[in-house]
Amino acid sequence: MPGIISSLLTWERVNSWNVGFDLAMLDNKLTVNFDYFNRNTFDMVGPAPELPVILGTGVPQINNADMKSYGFEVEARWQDKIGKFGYSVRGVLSDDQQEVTKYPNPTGSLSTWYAGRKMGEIWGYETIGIAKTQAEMDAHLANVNQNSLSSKWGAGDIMYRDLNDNKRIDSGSNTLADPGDRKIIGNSTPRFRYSLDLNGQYSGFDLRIFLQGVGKRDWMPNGPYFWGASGGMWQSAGFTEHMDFFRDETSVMVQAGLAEVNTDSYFPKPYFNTGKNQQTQTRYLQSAAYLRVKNLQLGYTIPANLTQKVGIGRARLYVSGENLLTITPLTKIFDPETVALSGWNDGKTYPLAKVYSFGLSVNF
Amino acid sequence: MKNTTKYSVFAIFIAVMALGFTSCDDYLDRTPLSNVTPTDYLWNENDLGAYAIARYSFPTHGGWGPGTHGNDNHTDNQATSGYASRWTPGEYRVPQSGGSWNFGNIRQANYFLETVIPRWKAGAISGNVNNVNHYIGEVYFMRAYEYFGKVQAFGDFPIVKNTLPDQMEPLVDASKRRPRNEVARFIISDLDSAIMLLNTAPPGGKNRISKYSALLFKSRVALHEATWLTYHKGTARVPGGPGWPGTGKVDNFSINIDAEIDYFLTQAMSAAAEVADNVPLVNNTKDNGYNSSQNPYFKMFGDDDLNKYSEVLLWRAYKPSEGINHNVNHYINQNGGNTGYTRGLVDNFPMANGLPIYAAGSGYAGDDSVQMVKIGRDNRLVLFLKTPSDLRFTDKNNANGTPVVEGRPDIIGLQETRYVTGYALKKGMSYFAINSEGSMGSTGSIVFRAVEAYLNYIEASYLKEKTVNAKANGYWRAIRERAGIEPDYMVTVNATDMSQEAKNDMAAYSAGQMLTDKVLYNIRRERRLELIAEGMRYDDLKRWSALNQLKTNPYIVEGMKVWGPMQNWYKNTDGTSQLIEAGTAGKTPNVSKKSESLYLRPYRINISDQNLVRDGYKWANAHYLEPIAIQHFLITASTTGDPATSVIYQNPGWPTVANTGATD
Repeated sequence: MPGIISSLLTWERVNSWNVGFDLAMLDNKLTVNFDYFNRNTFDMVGPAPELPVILGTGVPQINNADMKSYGFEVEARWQDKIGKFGYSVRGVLSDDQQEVTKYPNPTGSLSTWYAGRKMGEIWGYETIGIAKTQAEMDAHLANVNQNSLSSKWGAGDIMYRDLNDNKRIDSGSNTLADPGDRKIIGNSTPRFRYSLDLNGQYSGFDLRIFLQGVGKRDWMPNGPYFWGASGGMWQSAGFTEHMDFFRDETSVMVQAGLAEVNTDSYFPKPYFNTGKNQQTQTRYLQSAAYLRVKNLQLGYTIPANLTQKVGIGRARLYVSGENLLTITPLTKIFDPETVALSGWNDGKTYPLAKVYSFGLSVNF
Repeated sequence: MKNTTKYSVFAIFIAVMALGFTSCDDYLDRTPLSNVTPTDYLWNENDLGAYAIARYSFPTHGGWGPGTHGNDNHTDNQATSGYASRWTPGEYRVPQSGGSWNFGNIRQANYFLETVIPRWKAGAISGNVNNVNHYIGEVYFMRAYEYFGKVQAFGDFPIVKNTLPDQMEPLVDASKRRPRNEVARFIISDLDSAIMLLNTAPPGGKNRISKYSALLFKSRVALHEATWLTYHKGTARVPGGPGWPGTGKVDNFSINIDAEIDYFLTQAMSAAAEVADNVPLVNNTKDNGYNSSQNPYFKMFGDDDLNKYSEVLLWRAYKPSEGINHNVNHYINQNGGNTGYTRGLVDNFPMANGLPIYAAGSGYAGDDSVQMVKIGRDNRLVLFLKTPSDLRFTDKNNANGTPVVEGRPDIIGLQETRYVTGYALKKGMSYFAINSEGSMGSTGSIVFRAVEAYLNYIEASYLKEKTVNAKANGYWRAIRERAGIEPDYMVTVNATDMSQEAKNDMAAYSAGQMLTDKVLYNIRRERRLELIAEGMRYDDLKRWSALNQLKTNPYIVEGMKVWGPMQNWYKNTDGTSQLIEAGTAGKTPNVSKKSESLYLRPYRINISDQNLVRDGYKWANAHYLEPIAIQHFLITASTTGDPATSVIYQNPGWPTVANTGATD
């Protein structure tokens, strides 16, 4: 059956401006480029509007949204020579954000766009903490009913905060007017992407260090690689990190003498096939900001007067390494660079390898 | 001269431009070469046939698990290790979005009918007239099939006969629910159109819907509606009943419920009789269950080609060499498949002499072992219960030349392959070793089986006439003769003790009351025993209103008598037991407590309060119908954010707040 195509579909209109400057000084030793842009897209083809599902097929997309994109990019480069030592430093920093400025969403549903929505918003619950005892949980439940999420709350389970003071934890109507106890707890858009490229040469030796990273990014991981026990026997994982789960005297592993009591755990009590403790929430929101030594290369070019005797124009020996070091607050289970790439749950993707190589390049 | 050149250059230029523009227009008007466009489609027999078969959405084998034979899990017939939220009131909740309230397949059928019917009437569809008619009939059938799923899920439902435009107002207007009896009548009228158009021997054999499939399905729909109205009468789940939420929201409403019941019973009887009178049952050689590979009645469920079995009206074929396969025998033949019959079902089978096991002189040998329960029983239990020492393969022996046979039921093994109750399924088993390999299942999957028409007739005629008429008598005896049990059903009826049956069988009740009519009870029993492991049970329990009693009297699932002599089957070589009772400190238990019951209770193994069915299956009457998701109210509400202003009304006992459980 053919899908519906709207006869109203037409071109989007774009209105953009940017300001920038290029600067070169000190005999071109220092160059700086800066650019700020602001782009408004009108009549953009956004997500199809919501209609009663009795339509029976996908609602056709139409030109129904306006969106604003803005951001900047700055690049600075310093190049100089001190005696026989030549070096250069190049840094790039960029940032951009998108915001919906107009979108017809009469019910204010959070499952689609709405005016004022920034791309990458993460809606979630606020975590009070893990209840260390049944008594602590009972005291919490005396004020707040968590039964919309699941039942049978006890020691080792998450206590969620009742943000809208209605004595129950839920996602309300999932609308702007009634988001329940959820709020925007972060944004998964990578912000302040940067890189730094350092080069130096000294009498035949050359060194290059290339660093890259993201300044700010929130990430709410999902799936078994983050939670450990998750979806039954086929969808659970057991990494070292997962041993930091909640255990008290009644836990089977403690009773069997296989593990110590651990009530100050990072992870809650593990369960199969219930998301009660695995809601999107502040406690487990990760920072996927990072700094990575993407490439480091050291080379030595054999002096030309030696190589030319055997008829070689240029010969260079080098060692090189990729992905040598990563500094990130993100849990070690994931790689901050691939964290959003997988179509499955987080982490189920081909990993980036640490690569060492060395070689000799010869030009005749 | 010079001027002429100039002009001719100019003329050529104009000509080229003109050519350019024309070709440009042609290019834009060209239809996509790699796609079929709507205007070119559905003009001939092949298009119609391809469109119709793509609409098939029957439950068939597939994926990892015992296929359709696992569809009776979560009933009093069959249990798996997990539980369904429908048995835990408060946990089954109103969803925020989605659910069965969807219209994708309905629009697919409507698009076809509104496109093809005018062309067909104008004689513009090319191809064999018989086949063209047949394919149109299939789409009527599929619309009816889809709608029946909606009646089962929601009861009252919007009736949509055309594709709707993508505009708010007409869509909101069309979202109004119609009373369920009217929807059922609409389904019957679609099925009548289908029956008129469908062939008895369709192109493509019994892998396609036939006239008899449609007649059988019509009897199913009509019986379902008749019994629903009968047993739910006087509740909010029947149009016009007290507290019916449609009151004031349904235009032009009136109902004479007894006339409706009579209408549907009549329809069920005539459609069922047409199938039963024309389609004979497959023969049962009544073997002893060691090797049933030559028994047609057994083999019908585990054979590659089902065309040769008269009783199979519609089935799906598999071909592992082309990647179309299932894993039914990866489980049914090799292990317990994370399922098992309940003790309630096994004990419900009478002896071959027709007497219930508890009757004086029945000859029941007891249940000290899973083999013993088969002694002298209804041959269906002998055939379809897998027990130790049964032959597994006819084309493969052990290395030492001995036959490969079934071992003790592994009730404590890995969840995926566990014998959950100890009473293992054998329906669907194939004796060929290749079928037990992963993703090599080639046996056909039955969609419709004619014996259901026999059963539908018996039930419908008894409800209408309050007696087993001559036709029903003939059908019932035919079923029992084939089943390998005393054909005189009155032997069973007269020895039936309802209070004994009520322990085994949820269907001993309707609307919270134990049945007093033993004939009616035995009609239900016959249906249960004939259709085990075929995915019919839960729908039957719902239409009979046979679950109310669980509100006060939860159902505890039991399996084999593990704490009798069979406990010796689970010993290490040093004589210590592998069984760990529930509540043993420092160990993960694998069986229920002996002090509680000698019978294995799969939901009493984990007795922590995290196990929500540890006290048995419970019920809320709202669960008879599904809740409609909140999203559907919000988008059709006249006041933003207020579900109460929607044209749609919620089903009885369900709130209009997302993530909340039933109130009744």
